[in-house]
Amino acid sequence: MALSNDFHSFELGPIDPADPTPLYQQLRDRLRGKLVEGWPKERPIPSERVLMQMTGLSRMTVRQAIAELVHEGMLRRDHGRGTFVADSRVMRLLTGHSTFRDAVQKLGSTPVTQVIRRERIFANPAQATLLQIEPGEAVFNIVRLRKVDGQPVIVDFTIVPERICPCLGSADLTGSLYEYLAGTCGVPPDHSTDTIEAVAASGEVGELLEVEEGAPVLLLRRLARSVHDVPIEITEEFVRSDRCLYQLENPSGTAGIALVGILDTNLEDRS
Amino acid sequence: MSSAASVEWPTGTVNGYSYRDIAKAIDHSLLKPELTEQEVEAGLQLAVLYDVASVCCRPCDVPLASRLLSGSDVRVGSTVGFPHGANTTETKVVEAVQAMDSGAAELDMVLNIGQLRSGNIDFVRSDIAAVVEAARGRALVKVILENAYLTEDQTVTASKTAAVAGGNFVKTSTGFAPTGAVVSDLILMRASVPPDVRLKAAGGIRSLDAMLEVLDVGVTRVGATATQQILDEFKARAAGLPAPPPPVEASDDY
Repeated sequence: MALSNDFHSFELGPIDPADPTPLYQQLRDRLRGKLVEGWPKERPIPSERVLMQMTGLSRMTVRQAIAELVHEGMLRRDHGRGTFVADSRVMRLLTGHSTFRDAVQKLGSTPVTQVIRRERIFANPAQATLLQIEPGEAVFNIVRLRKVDGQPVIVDFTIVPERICPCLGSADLTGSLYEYLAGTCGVPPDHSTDTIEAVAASGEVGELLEVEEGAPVLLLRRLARSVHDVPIEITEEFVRSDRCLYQLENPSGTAGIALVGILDTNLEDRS
Repeated sequence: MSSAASVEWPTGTVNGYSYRDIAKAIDHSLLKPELTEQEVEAGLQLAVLYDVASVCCRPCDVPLASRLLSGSDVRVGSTVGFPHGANTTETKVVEAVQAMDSGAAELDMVLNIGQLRSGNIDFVRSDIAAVVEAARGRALVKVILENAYLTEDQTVTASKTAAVAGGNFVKTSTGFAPTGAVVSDLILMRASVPPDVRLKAAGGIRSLDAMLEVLDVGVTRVGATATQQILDEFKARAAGLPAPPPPVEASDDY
């Protein structure tokens, strides 16, 4: 006899007063999660007044949370008609110390990591130089596909010297690699140098990410070292630019991304 | 009376809702005490024409409604202990059984407002539970809280009590009190009952925008007398046309 007349309702739970995170950030994150869950694109989100009533927060706080989501590109204002979910990217990852899993779950989505390939190979000269090992030393080459809610988002190509973590050959890598390295192998990656560039997807990358040959993707290259400065891993992370963006919080005194230099890519063997 | 097969839903959406979404969320209300038989018949025809979820009619009109709505996709609903909620539990149960025996599949009952405000929650609960029990397997029970007379705490208590007693819906108002559906009340109600208890907003929903606003906060049924205005406005907006003019006589009540 139940008539399931089920619409999307915009219920937001109460904001946790014990959480030290600023209120507008809590609301922003909750709103983001709600939107990622699925809110019809043609439907304006509830008015400020309704959001205030739902959350018990002030108009200023509600406005600030919404303004941030507009700035992020998750919402767009259509003056007169309301505020809507923006057409473009709905997925956001934050850089920092959170794992992929944590970042995705924070949005209310389901992260899945698939190990595409794991093999024991011999380091080529470029890899050996970066990792400060002998050319020809054994390394693990791990290829993993990260999906969010069933859709491919990132493919990782990671190289870790066997001597750093011999048991990687048989480890469960569907979770956080960093947590495994820190926990089971006792070599937590401590600091890293990362670069970000735009490249055209091709071959295996394009296939795994399910994008057309030549589609733009982000490429993050990382060299991570232990607290004693020992290189632990190098990774090339190809990211679907339509599904992710990276956000950096520049703390007090460091506003703006510093341009350190311009790489002449002809000089360097980046393979 | 035309059958369900002959009803054609307008195409187009408004805010992502189809015509069917909106129409099937409306309980067309025919509860004013002064309505003549002809006015009730006209209202029943309107309900079928616009293909709403149900009609909520006065107890004496249930046999008529059952007859005229048979073969349509519009359900027959009626009221119990309406509008004051002060009838004895026994009377409410008899009302419920009579309505169901005459064909009602939905019962909008008013809880005992005075007892709630007196803090006699056990009584309020058993009063609701008796109607729920009588309706088991036969009709949906919507419990009217009448928020106009309640504090926020009382709205919360009433909602929880209605849920515990087995009500299928909690409903804001009879439409005959000074105020009706208020968004802040609905938010409280939604937060106070489990997910399987649904929300009905009634009283003062006279436009499509008012209906859309309450749908956002979790309402899945709206009691309205302005059904024609709401759905005509939907059709116009879905077709990209200007809204039809509001009725000349805007009445203040439900």
